[in-house]
Amino acid sequence: MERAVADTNILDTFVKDFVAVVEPLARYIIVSGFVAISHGRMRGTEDIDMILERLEKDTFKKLHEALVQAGFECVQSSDATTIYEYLTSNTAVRYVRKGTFVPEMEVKFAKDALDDDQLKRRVKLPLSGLDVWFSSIETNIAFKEELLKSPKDLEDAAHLRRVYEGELDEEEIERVKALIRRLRL
Amino acid sequence: MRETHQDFLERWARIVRERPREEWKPIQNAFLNAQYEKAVRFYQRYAEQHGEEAARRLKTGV
Repeated sequence: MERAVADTNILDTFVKDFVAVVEPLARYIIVSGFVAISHGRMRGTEDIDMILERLEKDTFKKLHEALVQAGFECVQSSDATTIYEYLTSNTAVRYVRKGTFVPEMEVKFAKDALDDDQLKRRVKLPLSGLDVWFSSIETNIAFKEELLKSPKDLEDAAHLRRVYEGELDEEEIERVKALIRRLRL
Repeated sequence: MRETHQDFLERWARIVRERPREEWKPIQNAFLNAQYEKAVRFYQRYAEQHGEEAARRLKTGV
């Protein structure tokens, strides 16, 4: 039984279930801490970050209804129009499985050319073992080293650098860092 | 000499990079699931004492 418990983890299952609903309706990426965790980083989190392409209101309503149908609920509101207004004003919204507190999917719309760039260059990462779209490893490292910079973020970046040692495109990391400096700092 | 946090991070990343997934993934899964159970128990206890809405506010700041 112990082995069966360890065969999967709650975060992977939550992400797979959430993404299965989003995939047919919207272009998305998973970013930040969960990228490192899905590559073996040994740290907990309660939140997973998702960036969605900016959707028309009707498409978002369909997505929200599909998420509710699949057993998720938005923490801020149950009204799709209200949630859409949060998203279009660049406020993240949080979805959980109905009646639970954790984990949460923190969802936001792409807000600038940097987010559009991440969505355009999204990748699947076989090492994660998940059939999920991520922003690239280089982009995640750039964000953590250039923008986020907390000890946890720097350890995430260092972990990804170690796991992908010899395979990283340093010019790409520098390109994204330059974009961050131009658009976010 | 006692392993530092930094030593552990480096050693663990090397394990993830060099060893088969079947070797390290169950260890990570057990860790993540334990963290999750701990968080669930905390929010449940908090909700019992202060109400579900208060627990939600604590979690999300909303």
